[in-house]
Order: sequence, then structure tokens, then C-alpha cells
Amino acid sequence: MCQLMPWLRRRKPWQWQLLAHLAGLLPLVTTVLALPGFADPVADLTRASGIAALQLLLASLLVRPVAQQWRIGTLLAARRPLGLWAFAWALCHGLVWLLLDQQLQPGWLMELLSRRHLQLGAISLLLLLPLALTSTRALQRRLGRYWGWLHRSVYLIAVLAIAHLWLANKTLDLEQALYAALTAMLLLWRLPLSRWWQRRCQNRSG
Amino acid sequence: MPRRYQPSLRLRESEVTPESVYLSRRQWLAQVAAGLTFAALPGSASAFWGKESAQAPRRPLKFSPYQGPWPGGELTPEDKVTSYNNFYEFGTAKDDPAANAQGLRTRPWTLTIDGLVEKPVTLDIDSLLGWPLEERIYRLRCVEAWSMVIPWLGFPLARLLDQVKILGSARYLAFETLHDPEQMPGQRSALVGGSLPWPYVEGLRLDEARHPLALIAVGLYGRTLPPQNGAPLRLVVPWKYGFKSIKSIVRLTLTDRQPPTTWNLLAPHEYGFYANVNPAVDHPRWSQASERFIGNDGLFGMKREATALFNGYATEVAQLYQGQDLRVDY
Repeated sequence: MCQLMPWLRRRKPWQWQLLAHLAGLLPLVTTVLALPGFADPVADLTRASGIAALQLLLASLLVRPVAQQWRIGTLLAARRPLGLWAFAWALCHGLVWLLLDQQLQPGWLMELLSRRHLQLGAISLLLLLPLALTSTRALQRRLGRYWGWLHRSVYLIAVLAIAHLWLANKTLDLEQALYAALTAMLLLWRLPLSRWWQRRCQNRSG
Repeated sequence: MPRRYQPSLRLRESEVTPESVYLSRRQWLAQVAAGLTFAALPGSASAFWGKESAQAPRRPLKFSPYQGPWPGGELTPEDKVTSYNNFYEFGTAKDDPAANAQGLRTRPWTLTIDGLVEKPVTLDIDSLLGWPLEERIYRLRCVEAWSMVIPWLGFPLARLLDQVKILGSARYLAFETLHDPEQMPGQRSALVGGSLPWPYVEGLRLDEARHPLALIAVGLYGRTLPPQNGAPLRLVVPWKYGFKSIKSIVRLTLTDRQPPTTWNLLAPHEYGFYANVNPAVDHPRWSQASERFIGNDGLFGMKREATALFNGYATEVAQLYQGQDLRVDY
């Protein structure tokens, strides 16, 4: 352990980015491998792409607590690729629904507007779009503090995505409960009270 | 040097069918893939490693071949019928039942018929399997808007009811699935079984139960039921959503009032007592106007098909509901 931490801290930003890209590509590999075994491929593909998007979104939110807790500054570089992969998978998820599930039949918009979980999913995807578009370093500099405000909407998106998942399923299961618990922890960690507590702990240990 | 793989369950050659070998390998591959995705989660990881189990052996059955009308579409391949299941006693994911139900003890197994009858009876599954069996090729429409066409083997539910003398006051028939948390992980943990109240219960009006289409199935595709499909015996009511077709039944009770039903207890505004397939009455959270048929086609061959009233069995069953508003009695 005492060998591991210094080693992790010495990693370069590009190494974390590479890891993030591999994490973003992994669901593609697993989905292609599993595809021949899918009985209801549209439903299975919808689920696989949606879960991939959620996992990557939560991974991007996990970066800062982990980087701060173990003082691995370079790890922060993983956030951008993780967030972009989350958007890519969310877009796939929406397109699978539109093209394969609804098959672009005329009623798709009515269907989208009349179902609560579809509304929440669509809003999440729409909110992710500006984050993906403003993810370049140049725009980040240009937008200044507005960039920070804009990108804080990711917390709202995480909550919407969890609500979307819950409403789309018939019952609550272990997997959904774990995602919800992780989301709650990641949000609580960012509350002012919890920041104060973290500082206190760090000062004591430091 | 890698050790040779030793199966934990040793089967004689005669007990292994080529299909089940094929199936378990395919499933294993799919689950390797799915498992990798969720390997980071402690709960799924253990479920993943437990998923190599061989399929429980199934016995060939003698039956008279199906002569009735074809329900439309092709037969759903057997490996899809036996690997894509809703059986929350064994987990909420579609591949959970095939992975977790193989150890279900289906012998000894008895079925009790009690309630408003002159004399309750208890029947042994082996005697029921000796009854003349017929093949019924039915369309199964899940409330989740997917469908299959399945060759069941069994006998009319009415024949089972003939085993008792039903009192005149009886109006409904209540069904109950085995309650055995030791064998059924979903009954042990709300997070595995979707927090359904156990045991799983269902019900029919007595005239529905006596309808000749209502079937007690003991097999499919020529052999006894696999555990994930509700071994050793289950109900099949083809004009109602799949959740009405209760699995692994241990008790039938004749009652004078409408019995509670599991999904209705969990979400009364989403799942009614009648649960007749009806394209005009949506599930509150999704449309029931069309369905995804699970056949031989892969991802891009899959078409949405229009859902038919009473799942295509309207000429046979519509008269049961004369004078009823199907929007109220959903």
C-alpha cells in the first residue's frame, strides 16, 4: 500500500486519460461479445448502453473525491474523457430507443412526452449535450467561471439519471440500489458541511 | 500449469442433452461479457461467478401433437424460451432464473386443492405427469411488451378442478407458488427478489379458470419444464399478461371473493386483477399497443408488432367479459 500510493501519484495525466478511454470502450467490447446471447436484443442493448452511460457518469464524479482523498492530482485529467464517454453512451442509449425500439414510427414523440421516465431520460441527455460541447480546453478558458457553473449541472443529471432508471424498471434491485447509494454519497461528499469535515480530517492527519 | 476444469456436477451421458450443453456454453459466454461490465460491483461479482451451473436434466414426455390454430409468428427458439425469464424468486434480471433456479427440488412435489371444496385433495406431481398430455402452441405476451410463441405440454386447468367437488359458493380460484426462501434467493432478500411480497399468488375468476384455453403446463418443447420456466407445473393463460401465468404451483384454493394477486399488491394502478392483454389500455409507464416478438431474428431483424386484443384469443374469450369495462377492469 505504501508503495502503491507514491506510484499512483507519479502517474502522468495521459496515463489516467488512457485508462478513462479504456473504461469508456470496455462496454462496447462486452456488449458486442454478449450480443449473440441477447434474447430481446433491443431491450438488452437499451439496458447495456444506459448502464454504461450511468457507470461512466458516476466514475467521472468519483474522480475528485478519490484524487483529493489520496492526493493524486494527475487523476483529475480522467474526468474529461469519462464525461465524454458517458455522453457518447447516453447518446447511443437514446438512439437505440429511437431507431430500434420505436423504429422512428410517427408516435415516438408522443410516447416520449407521455412517459415520465422517458422525459427524465431525454432531459438528462439534453443537459449532457452542452457539457460535451464545451469540454474543450479553449472553451473552458473562454467561459471562465460560467464554465464551472454550467458543468455543475452534472450533479442534477446524475440525480435525473437515477430517477430515470428507477422509473423505467418494474422493481428496485440491488444494482439500482447500489447506483443510487453511490450517487448519494458522491453528492453528499460535495456538500459544504462535508467539505468542512474533510478539511478538519486532513488538517489532523497532516 | 493450468488445472483441468472439473465440473462440480457430474452427469451421465444419458442425462445431458446437446441443446443444454449448447445453451449453457452460450449463456456462459454472454455472462462473461455481462459480468465484466458489472465486475466492479460486489453483489454482481458473486452472482457472476455462480453462473456456470449446468442446466437441470429434463425428461422427454409423451403427448398428443397440437392441432389448433397457429398463433401467428414462428416458434421462439427453445434456448430463448429457457434463458429469458421473469421468475423473481430467483432474481429480477432475465438471466437470473436460468442461472439460479437449477437446484430447485421438484421431487417430491405435491399440489393441494382446497378452500370451498367438499374434500380437499393433495396430488403428486408424478401422478399428474401420467395424465394424457397435449401440446398447446400459445403466444405469450409479457406485460413488459415482449412476446414469444411457445409449444407447451400439459392438460386443461379444468381437468385439475374436476378432481374436487367445488361448492356452489366458489367464485374464484387462487394460486400459490412454492414459498421456500432456502431454495429461492429472491424470497430471502428484497434486493434480489424486487421486494415482492411472498409467496407469489395469482387468481382467476372460476369461469376463466374453466375456459378450455387455460392450461396447466408440465413441459415445453417435448420435455418437462426447466426450473426457470416454472417446474414442475405452472399455469398458462394465453389471453392475459405473462405474470398471471404463475409458476411452480403448490396450492389452488377455491374462494368466494377475489383473491389477492402479487403484482397488484405491489403496484395496484399498474397491474390489475384481470390483466387481459389489451392494446388500448397502456401500462402507466409504457405503451401496450405493440410488442417486440422474440423469434429467430437478431437485433436488426426485430420488428415491433401490433398487439392484439386478448393476445389474439378474442374469439375464444371475449364473451367472458361481456358487460365489463376493460379500462376499469384492467
